[in-house]
Amino acid sequence: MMQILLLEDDFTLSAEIKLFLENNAYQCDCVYDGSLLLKQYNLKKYDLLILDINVPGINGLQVCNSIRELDKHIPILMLTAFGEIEDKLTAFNNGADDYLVKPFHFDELLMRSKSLLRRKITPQAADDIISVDDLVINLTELQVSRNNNAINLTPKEFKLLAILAKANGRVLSKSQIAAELWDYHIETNQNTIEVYINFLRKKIDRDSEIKLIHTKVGYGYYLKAAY
Amino acid sequence: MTLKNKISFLISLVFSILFAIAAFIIFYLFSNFRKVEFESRLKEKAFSSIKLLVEVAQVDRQLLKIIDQNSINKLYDEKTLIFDSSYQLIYSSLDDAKIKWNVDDLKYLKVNKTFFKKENKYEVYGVFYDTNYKDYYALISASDDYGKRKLEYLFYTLLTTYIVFTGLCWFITFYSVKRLLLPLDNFHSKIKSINENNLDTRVEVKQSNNEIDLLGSEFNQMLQRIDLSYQKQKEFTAQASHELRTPVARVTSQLENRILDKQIDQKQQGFLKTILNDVNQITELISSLLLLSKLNDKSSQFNNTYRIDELIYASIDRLHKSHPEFRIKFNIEFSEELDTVLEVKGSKSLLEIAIINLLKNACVYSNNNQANILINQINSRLTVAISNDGKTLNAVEQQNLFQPFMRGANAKGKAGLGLGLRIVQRILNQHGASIIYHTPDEQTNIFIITFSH
Repeated sequence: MMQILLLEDDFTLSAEIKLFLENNAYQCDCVYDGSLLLKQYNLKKYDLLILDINVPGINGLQVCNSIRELDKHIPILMLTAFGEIEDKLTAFNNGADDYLVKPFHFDELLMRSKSLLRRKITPQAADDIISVDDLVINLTELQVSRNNNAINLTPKEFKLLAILAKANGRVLSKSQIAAELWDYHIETNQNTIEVYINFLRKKIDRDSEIKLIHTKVGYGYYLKAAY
Repeated sequence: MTLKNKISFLISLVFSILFAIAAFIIFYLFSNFRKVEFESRLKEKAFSSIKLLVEVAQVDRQLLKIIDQNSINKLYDEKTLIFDSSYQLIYSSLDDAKIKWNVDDLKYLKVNKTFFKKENKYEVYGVFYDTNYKDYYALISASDDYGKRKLEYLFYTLLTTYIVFTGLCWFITFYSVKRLLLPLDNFHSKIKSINENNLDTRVEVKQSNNEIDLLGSEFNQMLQRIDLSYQKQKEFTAQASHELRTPVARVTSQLENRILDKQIDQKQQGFLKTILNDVNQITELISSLLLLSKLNDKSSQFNNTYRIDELIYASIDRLHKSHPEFRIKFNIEFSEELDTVLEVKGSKSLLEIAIINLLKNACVYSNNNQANILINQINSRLTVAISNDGKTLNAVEQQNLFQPFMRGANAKGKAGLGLGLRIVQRILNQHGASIIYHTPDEQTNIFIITFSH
């Protein structure tokens, strides 16, 4: 059973979170001030820390910072009423992995906790790299370069390039691309695919003699070095 | 006219007038001096002519004429007439010379002894000479070419000096005032750039008793006080946010746990769900009011650039998590510079809040839970049109669309606060973008956002 340590000074909220997590098959210990958390952390091995920021004693940010010095890998989820972007940045700068603003829904707390725990369990995969001619796509680090020059792509452009690269030179129709590129709740027309293909061509092929992104008229697109 | 120009203009004008008055007085005094000097010269000549003719027995008219013709005074084009007591001309210096005279002039002389008058280019001096035996009248006329040339020279000298010095005065005054008030210009440009994001800015002041430095020093102190109160207000907002959010979180967590509790019967669960919906609405209201209190209507400077299409995808993902039933139709119209035009400077979190609000509104008030997005480039400007199929707003509702707590007739039976569009408008204003509402037909609502790059 996954062990979670919760730092929350509000007794009612703390008890409700504990109840909810335990109902979802997690073991949860609660502490109400920062210095107690540091002591508790040394007593037992935990898989996830959920920290409120504004607590008595040492505040949540300082606790997060201290924990990070001891353990670089343990997932930390900050839980606070401070919802400003500056507050979020401060939390991330202090070593937090995620941030949840009060009031929150338990479903979201559960989803974020699961996501952090999954990240901890999943071993770091070796870099997944696809090369087409001098184009290198690092699917793990989400980086693209051509002729050793880094290319800055937006997430959607990267996803489209990855779809074409994974097809290994096969022609993909616009509807095949659309099905992979957009989630089911987003509907687009085929012109939008053309727009993104155009963006990619500008960034990938414009400065190179060898063009990699090709159109098969009436069928779709493919990524291949054509000599 | 700026104060700087007004001061320069007034000083220059005053000096120009003073120079002009001084030049006029000099010219006037010199002109009088010449006249008096010339009059005394003519007087001297008149007396010497009469004396030579009347009192010196050896000098007759012919000799006097020869003396006159050869004297230096010929240079003044002098003419002399001498009359006896019966007003008979007894001597005329030049035969062809003419002096306008009449008996009345001589009678006047008898009473007043002398006169000096101007006749065309000549000046005429008249004198009554009374001897023990006989009375004589002398009229002497001459043109003071020397004096007039001196006067003319003085006039041009004064005029040239006036023009040169007045010009210099204007230039020096404008230049000096500009230099002197330069700190005020710097002060102005610095103040102009101060907004709520850079209240820590201070104007440069020197340690002196100069009024501008004193003003700058006072301004800095005032700014410090404003900055302090602004910080306090921000701190208060943050604290208030915390204090409001924690109890709401407590209520939400208790309700959610009770709803999940299988021991609680269905009727009670339905009741708890209603309360939870109300609490969610309070949460939304708190967040919206806090956001509105922090946003202003002025355009702000942002350093980070984002692609609007990516912001829209992120917003759709966030909206999908809370409302999985919503569908979004997304399209981009191609244009050559589209990839550049899609880039906007701004705050990612604020723009996402604006897009989410618009998408959520479009879905909630639609007939089919669907919102349509169309990205377009019109005249190098980026437009994002968010539309839906649903009841449209009437003219009055359209006018008050962006007012807080405004809810249209189409909102009947739908949860909402009437703050969303107000927040959207403020966020877009901060980004230098505009938003308009448009109804092409009775069943289509379109919000068009235009970013001015």
